[in-house]
Amino acid sequence: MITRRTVLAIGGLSMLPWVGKLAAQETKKPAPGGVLRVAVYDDPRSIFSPIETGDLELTIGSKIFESLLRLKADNTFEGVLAESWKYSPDGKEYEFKLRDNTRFHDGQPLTSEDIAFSIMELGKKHNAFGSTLFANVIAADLPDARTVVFKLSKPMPPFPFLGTLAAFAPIAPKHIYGTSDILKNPKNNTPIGTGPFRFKEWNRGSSIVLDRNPDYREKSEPYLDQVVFRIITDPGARAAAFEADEVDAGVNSPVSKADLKRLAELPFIAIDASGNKATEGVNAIEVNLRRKELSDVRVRRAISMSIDRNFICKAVYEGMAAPAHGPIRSDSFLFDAELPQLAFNIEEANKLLDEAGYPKGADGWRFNLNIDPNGDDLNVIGDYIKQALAGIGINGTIIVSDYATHNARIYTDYDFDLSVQVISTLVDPQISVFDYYWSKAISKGRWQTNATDYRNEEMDKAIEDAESAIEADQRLAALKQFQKIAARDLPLIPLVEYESHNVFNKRVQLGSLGPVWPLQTWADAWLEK
Amino acid sequence: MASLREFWRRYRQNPGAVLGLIIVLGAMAMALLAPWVFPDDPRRIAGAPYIAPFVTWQFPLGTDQLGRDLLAQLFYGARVSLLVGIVAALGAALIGCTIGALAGFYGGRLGALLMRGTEMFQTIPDIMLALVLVTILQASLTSVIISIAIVSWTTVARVTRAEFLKLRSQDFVLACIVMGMPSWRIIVSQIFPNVLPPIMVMTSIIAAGAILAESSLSFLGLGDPNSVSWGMMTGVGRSVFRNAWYVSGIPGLAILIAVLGINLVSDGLNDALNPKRRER
Amino acid sequence: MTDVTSTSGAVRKHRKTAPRALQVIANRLAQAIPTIACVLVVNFFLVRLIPGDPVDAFVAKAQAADALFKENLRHEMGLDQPIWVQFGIYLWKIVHLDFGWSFQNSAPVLEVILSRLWPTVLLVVVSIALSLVGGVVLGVTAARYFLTWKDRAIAIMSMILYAMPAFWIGLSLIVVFSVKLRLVPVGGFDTIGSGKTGLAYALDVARHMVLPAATLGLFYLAVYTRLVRASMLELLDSDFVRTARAKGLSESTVLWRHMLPHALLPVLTMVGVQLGSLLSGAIVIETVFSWPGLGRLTFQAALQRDYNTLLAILLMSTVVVVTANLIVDLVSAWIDRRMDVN
Repeated sequence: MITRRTVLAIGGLSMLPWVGKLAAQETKKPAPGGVLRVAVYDDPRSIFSPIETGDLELTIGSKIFESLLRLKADNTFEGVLAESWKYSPDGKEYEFKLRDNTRFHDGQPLTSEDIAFSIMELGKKHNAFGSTLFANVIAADLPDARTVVFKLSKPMPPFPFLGTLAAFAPIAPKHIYGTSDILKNPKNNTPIGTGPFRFKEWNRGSSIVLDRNPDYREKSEPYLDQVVFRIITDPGARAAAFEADEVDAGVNSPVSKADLKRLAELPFIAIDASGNKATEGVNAIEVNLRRKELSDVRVRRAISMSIDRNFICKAVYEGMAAPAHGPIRSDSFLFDAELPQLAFNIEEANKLLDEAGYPKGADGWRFNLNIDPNGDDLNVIGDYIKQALAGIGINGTIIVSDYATHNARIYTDYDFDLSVQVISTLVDPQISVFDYYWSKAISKGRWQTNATDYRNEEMDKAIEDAESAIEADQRLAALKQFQKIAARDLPLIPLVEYESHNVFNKRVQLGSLGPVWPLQTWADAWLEK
Repeated sequence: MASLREFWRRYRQNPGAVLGLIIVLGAMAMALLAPWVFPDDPRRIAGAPYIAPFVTWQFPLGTDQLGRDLLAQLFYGARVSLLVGIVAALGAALIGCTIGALAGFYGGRLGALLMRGTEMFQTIPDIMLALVLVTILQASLTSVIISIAIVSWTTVARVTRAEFLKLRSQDFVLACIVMGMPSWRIIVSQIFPNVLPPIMVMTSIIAAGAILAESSLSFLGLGDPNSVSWGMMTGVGRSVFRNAWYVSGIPGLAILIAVLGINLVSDGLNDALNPKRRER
Repeated sequence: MTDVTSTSGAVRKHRKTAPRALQVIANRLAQAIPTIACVLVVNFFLVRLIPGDPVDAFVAKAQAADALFKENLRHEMGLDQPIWVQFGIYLWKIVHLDFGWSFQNSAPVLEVILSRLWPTVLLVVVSIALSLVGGVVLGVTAARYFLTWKDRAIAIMSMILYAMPAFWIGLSLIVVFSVKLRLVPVGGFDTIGSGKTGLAYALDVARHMVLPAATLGLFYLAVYTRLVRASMLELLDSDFVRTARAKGLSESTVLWRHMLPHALLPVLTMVGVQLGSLLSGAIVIETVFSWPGLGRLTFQAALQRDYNTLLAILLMSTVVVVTANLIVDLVSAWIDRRMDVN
């Protein structure tokens, strides 16, 4: 049997042979013209992506607002607005030199003022994620109109810092947004950026239309005349829209896995998994250690052992997932390859629970646990977990609530036992994974952070080492330590690494395909006639 | 007793009504027999996922995406769906009758106030109100039932009130009042039996509507995940609708047949309880 | 959740001599104001009872936020004030017809609602109109051929239509007519960027509306058919029908000219009551067909705890119902008077 890692070694980025059909298209000569129709699942909150962090808002906004850099498939960076960059050896100063020929859609030139404003003002103060992302950025020096120097309060390794700037820091014009109430600026919904596409119209509930920017920095780009985001709320209807050739593209798993399998068999549909590599994650159970039973690591191990991860991969993800080893995906370059598989062993699990002092009662149950799955696929996983727990004598009750209620239950009220959640990697674990394990990240009311009440000095040290290690080797060592402790203590029980797909009509040519393709500008994407 | 026999004779003449009764009794039998026919947890993973119907004897109706027996779930689903239908309808009837009877019998300011309240409820969109209530009470079978009852009682109240208004001034009621019978006894023992037929018909219609409403709530992700209902099965199976139609198709069909059955019964009731129509 | 029985009370009530139109309007308006006021209060507190607030919903969507950020946002949205103060501010604004700002749509509530109103009104009006016409024809036919096979066939058909879960019909229609036959689009309101205008645009919208209107309309066809049939049957034995027959009028004249207007009264009453529900009640159908209407907006607003938008829509639907009921009463009065003259 071919293991997952050997498949990766062969070079395919995906777990299924039909994914990655797009590989051999880069040699064709781009043809200008055409409308790219993209299916999205909802209206965005706004299109002013510099203050947004939702995937939808960022996907749409990234065509209008560019970032300093872009992440490439080989995990190196390429300049977009920045021409070059460098950082001090202590990791506390990052300097960016801007290209000199960038203009906003209203004709004003881009200057270093705009960069500083976008990070220090929009990012740090108005972006929900920004206060975390840019917590260490304390100042932006502007030696001249084309240079910006970020000063950090403590060292930060280049990959997470540059990655944050690449994915979560779109640049907006200070002369438009700098003067008014930022949340209610009328230009938020008719935004002005530097990107290859200009905002045209937003028909609420229906579509968002972007037009080609004829004055774009790269003279031959963009190739597309228009990008239309079409709002299709029902996943079944999205699949039907692909079949009926009413949309050309959809990002971040636009259809259910079952539908994906069917679409893949159509001659005009291509499916790509490499474009989401940097933002995929791991599904895991957050365990509330405040509960006496769950504070015992033997109980957590028993729960982990009761779960057949291969079954979840097969039944919930139609084979498009692999068992997880820990919070970092096994296809990440930061993964610790020595990490063992998490065992599936019901007998051993029952023994552990007996040892821990929770024998089965007269009714056959050891104790009760609530299971809080957070929507979509996770609800099906929750269903399975309930069954798996029944196998070791734990009586599970599923609690389904919408996002807002779930959020309040888990992160504000800590009113949960097991919460089934997606731990997204978001380019680097430092950005979004460490906080689940770091005791100093316990903060009532803060989302996607340590809600389990897990406190371990060893773990804290590993995390803090990784956060400030500038040398790649040193950082990797700390990260391996982090992964080992996580697998040992299981404050979060990792389930599976799912695969997130982008679906295309074959006429779509993606241009340069990085691991965060949905957030690229799509200036070099084009349509085959 | 004689009138009951007479009622049954009239009911029997309507083939649709008899069919409806058979369907409803069949569904009830499924609900009652479920634990004997399928002693194991119906949500248990019993076999391979996606076995089509009529392929193996082990799973006559096939299995869903997690390999759970669809037939077993259908049996247990009958329990929950019928429970939702019956309890929600009875709840709605109870609220509706009480408010309608009070408004109709006493009339005046109290009546006007109660009817304003009823109207107010009618102006809030049903599904919205149900949705908000389920969210407030947290998705569970009880909250689904309560929500459906709360959005369904208004029609019962209106009809009850109209009937009470009509009967209030009839001689036999006036006679009771003169005799000094307490109001509640007049309401319960004198007027109410005469109002029962239209209320029974309406309650059965609400029961059918409640089963449909539960499926809509499940579609929107607000069903109770811990108990299988037909609506829940249909809602969850929807994501594989195109690949394995039967996962949502079979429970959908069950809903269709059950709702049809209940409506046929209520039509039969209506005809049998209003004999004058038949004589034409 | 829809009442499909004969509202016999309504028929009887309306047969009384009609009061003058102006008086009806004045009466109804006087009654409407306390109703609307109560709805305002109930809605406000009902919506606040939902667990989680707009900030929780926002950070759930936005993927992350620290406690300070949330606190600032709550302050910005006025959620940190005592509930009574919030209620007072809300009332003050409503009285001035200010529906507030929708944080979740980053636009004024009124603008958001207006942009979604037209598709819903179009869908609802077209579906109701078509199903009303169909329901009258089928209902009258069923009553005319009471207890014959025609009546039974119509009854069974309408019951089956009534019993089908809407999303089930919707998805099946998409598969057959959009994916397999490619006759009509999968969903949406119009062909985006087609640049069509005038008649061509109207036809484009009509093509998009076929499936959602059919799904919604079929359900109401079933409801109206049964209602028309039931109220026609109620009337069969009434005095004025006997008189009309005694005069030797033809059966179809009696049915269509004398009985139908009366039989329509309860149907109209029901349409009036349903209108409000329909405005935001077509959630399921709008979701399945990606129809950019108010139903989806309402559902989103509930999920996102977008208090201002949710309250505005609920208030609007109350006003619509009250107005619709008023119009129905006027029409009923008018029909009654015409009948009395006859």
